[in-house]
Amino acid sequence: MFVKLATIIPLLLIIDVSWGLYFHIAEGERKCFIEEIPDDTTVLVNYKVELYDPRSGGFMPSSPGIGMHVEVREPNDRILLSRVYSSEGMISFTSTTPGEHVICMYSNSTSWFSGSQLRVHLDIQVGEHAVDYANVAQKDKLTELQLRIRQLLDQVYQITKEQSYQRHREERFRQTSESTNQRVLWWSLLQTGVLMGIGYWQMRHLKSFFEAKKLV
Amino acid sequence: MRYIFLTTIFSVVFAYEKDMTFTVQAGKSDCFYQRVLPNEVIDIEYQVIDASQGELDISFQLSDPVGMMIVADYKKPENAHRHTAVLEGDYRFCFDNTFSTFSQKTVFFDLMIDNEDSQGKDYDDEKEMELGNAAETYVMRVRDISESVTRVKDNVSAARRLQELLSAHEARDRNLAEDMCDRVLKWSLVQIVLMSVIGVFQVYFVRSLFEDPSNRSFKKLVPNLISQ
Repeated sequence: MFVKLATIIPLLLIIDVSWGLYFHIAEGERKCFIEEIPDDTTVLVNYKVELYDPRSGGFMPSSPGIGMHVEVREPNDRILLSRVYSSEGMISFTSTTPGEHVICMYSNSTSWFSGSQLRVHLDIQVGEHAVDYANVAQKDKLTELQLRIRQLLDQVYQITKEQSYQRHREERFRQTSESTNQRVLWWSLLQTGVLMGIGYWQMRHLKSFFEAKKLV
Repeated sequence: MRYIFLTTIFSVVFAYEKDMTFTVQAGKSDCFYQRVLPNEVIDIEYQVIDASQGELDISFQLSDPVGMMIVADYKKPENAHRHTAVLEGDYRFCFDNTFSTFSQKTVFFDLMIDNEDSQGKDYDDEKEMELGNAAETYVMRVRDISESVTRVKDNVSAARRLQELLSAHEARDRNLAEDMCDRVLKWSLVQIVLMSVIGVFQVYFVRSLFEDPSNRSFKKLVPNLISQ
């Protein structure tokens, strides 16, 4: 029993403590966060909201009825997830295509004091940070050294995935640059052609006009 | 044997790290708060990776819990700051886009809170002395493995963090290139249309100068040029 307890405590040190960063949002305000990730990557979003209490001047922890609408969009603007959660939520999704995923959240409740603010503690974990190693250790019955090595393997796998995604993005960058180059070339040629064509038409038209007027 | 692993893991120092990419609307200022203890080092690095129009810059402020400003940047595309916290409390850092009326900015930031003693990592642990001399050789072998695994993990974590930073920088360059591509097309079309319109207008204007003065509608347009 004591041994089991003693193995859990150091594992808690490995796992990130979540509720560090927070920000304020007003009623109806929408906050979006962008995560650029390769495919087949798990993203874990943890949030906790607190309502500003004008009586005490502080933030009281969640009252029921305060909900947050969370929307996750894929790189091709397709909605992956769009749901209303309660004041404390844990959302997990796995990316199917590589690219920029947008996580938007806004409050949908109207039962606030008018003009008040909501304090949102947010934590977004991507890839190997999203894995709960305490669970993994218990499920697979790993010792601490084996767990460390498993973490290393996951991290290195994530690095290689990110590197191949980086190659894909560089190729897209190169295509964009080449497309810009092509566009500059062809549109400049077209502009020169249009300019010469208009000049020629102007001269011909005016010449025939003046000849008709018997001025030339 | 279990004591060895437990105690070496306890001696690894824990640092808080968070990176985020978000959009600041035009004329707004987005602030984030983070609880910091005294003598912890706040290391923040930010970069503007996209702007809907105009320059890629943002103003940045870092304030301590009592409201005193520690760092203030005005319209910088990227910067990095390091500050040792004196007070305990919620430190606030803001990304200010109020100077811009139409352009919304996409900002990437990387916040790291280090404990003061995370610079010199100490892998020795006194508790291992309790095990006694009999198992000492075995203890040292296992401790070596454990130490090198921890070192590898630290290096891999550093590589991972660097990769995320590079990814954000590359995103900025790619956004710039894509904007440029769209702009080239748009302005080329505008120029061609403008040229054609002006070319046609010039011809008809010159014609109008030589039209019969009896045509009264032109008199109003060019009163000085048509002689009586």
